[in-house]
Amino acid sequence: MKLGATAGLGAAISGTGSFVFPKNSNDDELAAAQIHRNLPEDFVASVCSCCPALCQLRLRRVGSKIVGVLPQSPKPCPRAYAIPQEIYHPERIRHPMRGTGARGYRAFETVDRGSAVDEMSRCLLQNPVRSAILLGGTAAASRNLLAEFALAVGCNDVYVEDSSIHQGPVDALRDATGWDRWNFSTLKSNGVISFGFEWLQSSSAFPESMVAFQKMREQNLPIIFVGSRYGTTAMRSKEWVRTRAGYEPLVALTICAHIIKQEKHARSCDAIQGFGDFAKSIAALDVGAFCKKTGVSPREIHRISDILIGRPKILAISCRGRLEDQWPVVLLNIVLGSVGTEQPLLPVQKLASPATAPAEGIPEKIERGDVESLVIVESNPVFGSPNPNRWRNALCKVKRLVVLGTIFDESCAFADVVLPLSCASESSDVYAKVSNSEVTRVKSEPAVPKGADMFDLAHLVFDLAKSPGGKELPWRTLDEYSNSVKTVSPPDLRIDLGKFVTWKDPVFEEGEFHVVPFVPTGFYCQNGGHLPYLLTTAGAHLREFWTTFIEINKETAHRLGIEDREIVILKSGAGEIEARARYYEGVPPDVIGIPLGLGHRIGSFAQKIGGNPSQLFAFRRDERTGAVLWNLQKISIRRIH
Amino acid sequence: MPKFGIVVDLDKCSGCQACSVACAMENNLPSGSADLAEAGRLLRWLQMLPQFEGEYPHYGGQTVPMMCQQCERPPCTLVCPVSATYPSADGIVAQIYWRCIGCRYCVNACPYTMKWFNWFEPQWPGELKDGTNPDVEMREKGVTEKCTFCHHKLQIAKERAKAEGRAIRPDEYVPACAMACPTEAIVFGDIEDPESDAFRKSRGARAFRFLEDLGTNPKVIYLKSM
Repeated sequence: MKLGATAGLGAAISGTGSFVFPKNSNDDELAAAQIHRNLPEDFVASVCSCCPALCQLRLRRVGSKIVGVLPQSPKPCPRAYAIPQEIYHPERIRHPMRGTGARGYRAFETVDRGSAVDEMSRCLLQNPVRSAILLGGTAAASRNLLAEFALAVGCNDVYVEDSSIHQGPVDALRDATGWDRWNFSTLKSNGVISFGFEWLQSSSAFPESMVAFQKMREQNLPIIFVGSRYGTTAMRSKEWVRTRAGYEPLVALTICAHIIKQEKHARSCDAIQGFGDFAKSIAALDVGAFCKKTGVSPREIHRISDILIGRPKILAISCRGRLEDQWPVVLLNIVLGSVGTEQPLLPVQKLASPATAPAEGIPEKIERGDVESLVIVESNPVFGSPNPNRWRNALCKVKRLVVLGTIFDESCAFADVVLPLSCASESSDVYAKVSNSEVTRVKSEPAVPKGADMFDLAHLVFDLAKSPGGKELPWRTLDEYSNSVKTVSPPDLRIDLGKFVTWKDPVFEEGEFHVVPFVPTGFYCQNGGHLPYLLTTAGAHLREFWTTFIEINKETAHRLGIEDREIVILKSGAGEIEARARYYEGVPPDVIGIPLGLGHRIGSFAQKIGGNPSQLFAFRRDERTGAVLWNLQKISIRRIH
Repeated sequence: MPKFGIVVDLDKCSGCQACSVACAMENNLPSGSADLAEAGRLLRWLQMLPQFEGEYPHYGGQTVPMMCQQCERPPCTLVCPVSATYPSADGIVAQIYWRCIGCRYCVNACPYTMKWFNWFEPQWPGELKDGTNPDVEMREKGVTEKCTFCHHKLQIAKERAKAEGRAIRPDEYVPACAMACPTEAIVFGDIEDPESDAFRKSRGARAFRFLEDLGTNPKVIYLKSM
C-alpha cells in the first residue's frame, strides 16, 4: 500500500494495517455499522411462505434485525433471499389505516387497533351470509382458522386466490381417479416432457424441480419441452419441440395415439376397466390431422414416443388449462405407467381443511348483491387477476372492504380499513408441506418481533371469536387447531377413463397475435414485483429490467415497423397497456411472450414504463373446473406514433 | 496461499437467478429505481449474460451467470491511478472504496464490463437499510464496485479460524452465489488444490474461460453445456 496514494483522502494507516476513517466519511453510517458489528448474531430456523414449496431457511439475525438468508437443502428460489426486503419494505403496512375518498384512490390515516378490529368484526359478523373472505398466500393454519371461523358464523363464501397458472392437470386427474391431490414429482421421474408448462420457472415445487433438473442433466435423462416459446424451460431442456401456441396438449394426444397403436403402452393399463375399447378409440384418431394442426411432424412424434417408451417413470406435465387440454397429458401419464404410489405422478394426502371456492367468482357475486362485505387476506386481485377491471368495479361497489396484508398494494387502495399483518418471520404458524405422498406440518416461529400495531392472523381470529356477534371456537390456540385437523389419505388407486373429454380446438380471443404469458421465477401468483431485486430478474434473457416488456419476433416487428426497445401499445378485448417491444427469436412470428407480475405503478419501486399485463387477459374460466384460462388470449399491437 | 476461483457448470445452470438475488442481498447492492434501470445504471454484480444464436425456429442458447472474472492479470488494476483496485494474494481482485476517486478508468478497462460505477447516491427508502448486511460496507456515489467473491466472508472465516487456532475449513468460506445455487452449478474453491471440486472441474474437457485470447486469465471458469 502506498501512503502517498491515500494521503489525499486524509487517511492514516496504523501499524496494524487497519484504517483510521477519514473525516470526510459518513460518520453516522460508520458508527451505525460499528454498533451493528458488536450486536449478538445468530441464525434462526424459518420458513419462506411465498409459495407451497415452503422452503426451510435460516435467517441471519443481528441484534433484532434480519440481515441475511441462508438456504437449507433443498434450496429455495430467488424470492427467499429477498425476505429482508419484504420485512423492511418501504410500503410495509405498519399500522392499521382507514381510507377516505374514492375507492382505488383513497387517502389513508392511521387508526387504533381497536377501531380496525371493530371494522373487521362488522365486515364479517353484521351480515355473515352476505360476507365473503378471499384468502391469498400459502396454506397456513392461521388462514384455515379464519376460514373455520367464517364458516362457523354463517359466512359460507370462503374463497382462495387462484393459482391455476402454477398448477398441473389436476381436474382430469380427479376425474380419472376420484382423488384431487397429486404430486407431480420431478424428483421421482427419469425424465420430464412438459407440454407448455414452465416447470423450471413457475413450478410450486421449485426446490424439488431444481434437484431433479440437476440429476437429469448429470444422468443425461430426457428433458423435453413442447411449446411455442423458447423460455427458461425450453432453454434448459435437452429438446425443444416447437408447436403452435395453444396446441401443446394435442401433441400429447398424438403421442398417446401413436404409443397405443404400437401397443407399447404400459402393462398397468391392461388392468384398467374398459381400456381395450378406449384404446381402440384413441388409436383410431386422425393423427395426421393432429400433426397438421400442431405443426409437429409424424416423424417427430415417432421419435419422441420412442424416447418416452424407452424408459420407465417419465413424467408428463402441462398447465391446468381446459379440461380437454388436461386429459391428453393425464392419459399420456397413464399410458406410460407413470401414475401410482411408486410413480412420478403420485396421489398425496390432504388436510381436512375448510371448504373453499375459487376466488374468481367474487366480482360477479358483488355485482349481483350476493356479497356486501369482503375481507381480503394477503391477496392482490386488483393486480393479479385476468381483466382486473372486474375486480376494480366490484371493489368500488362492495359496501364494506377490509384488506389484511403486509405490503400496501393496489387492492389496499380500495379498502375501508387496512390491517397490517405480521409476516412468516414475525409470527408463529403451521404450514402444510407436501413431501412425496405425505403432508407434513412445518412449524415456523418468529425470528424477530412484529411491529407493535401489527396483527398475528391467528390471534386476530381468536379475538374476533370473542367479539359481539362472534362465535367461540373449539380451539384455544393455533397449535390446538392445527393438531386437530386430520389428514385424509388417498384411497387405493383406481383409474376410470369413463370421464375422458375429447380434445377440441381452443376458441381464442380476438386478435392478431397469441399471447404466451410466463411467470418469472420468484413471482408466485404474480406476487414479487414490489421487490427491487426481483424486478431485475424477469427480463434477464433480454437484459430488460424494471419494465413491462414483450418478446416479439424480428420478422413481425419489421412488418409492423417496430424497432427494438420501442414502446408499443398492446390491445385486447379486455384492455390496453403499454410495453417495451424487444426483438426475440425465441417466439414464432404469430406469438408474443409477456411476463406476468410486472407493472406495479404504486410504491417506492414502481415501474415507469409498461402496464400490468393482466389487463390484457379476458376473464375466461373453465366452467367445469373453475380453472382460470391464461392461454387463450390474443392481442393486437400498434406503435404509439 | 489458496487461489480462489469459481467454476460455473452451464449444463446444470437452470437460469433461476437465485445467485443474482442472493449476491445483491449479501453485498448490500442498491435497490435501484425505474430511472436507473432506464438509464442502464442498475448495479448488479452478478448478472445473466444472454448467449443466444440463430433465428426462429432454429434458435438456441441460454443465459450465463457473469460476475467479475477475478483475472490473474486484471486490466482494471493496471489503469487505476490510486491503486484502489489491486490483485490480492488469495486471487481476489480487491476494491478499496475509500481510495476510489471515481475516474472510471477501470470500468472502461474491464473487457467483461463487470465493474460498476455508482453514478448516484444509493437510496434506501423507508427502513430498507435495517435489512442490510453489517459485514459489508455501504458504497456511495462516485465509487466503483464489483464482485469480491464475498471477501468479507473470508475475513470473518480467517478471524474465526485464527481465534480457534486452526486453518479455515472449505465450508466456512462460500460466496453467496455458490451457497444459493440450487443445482450446484456454481462451485467455489481453491482452483490450485487438487483435492478441491473447483480444481477438478476447472480442468475438465468442458472447461473454458471467456475472452481467453486477451490473456487476462480469469479465475471464473465455465463448463460448456452438453
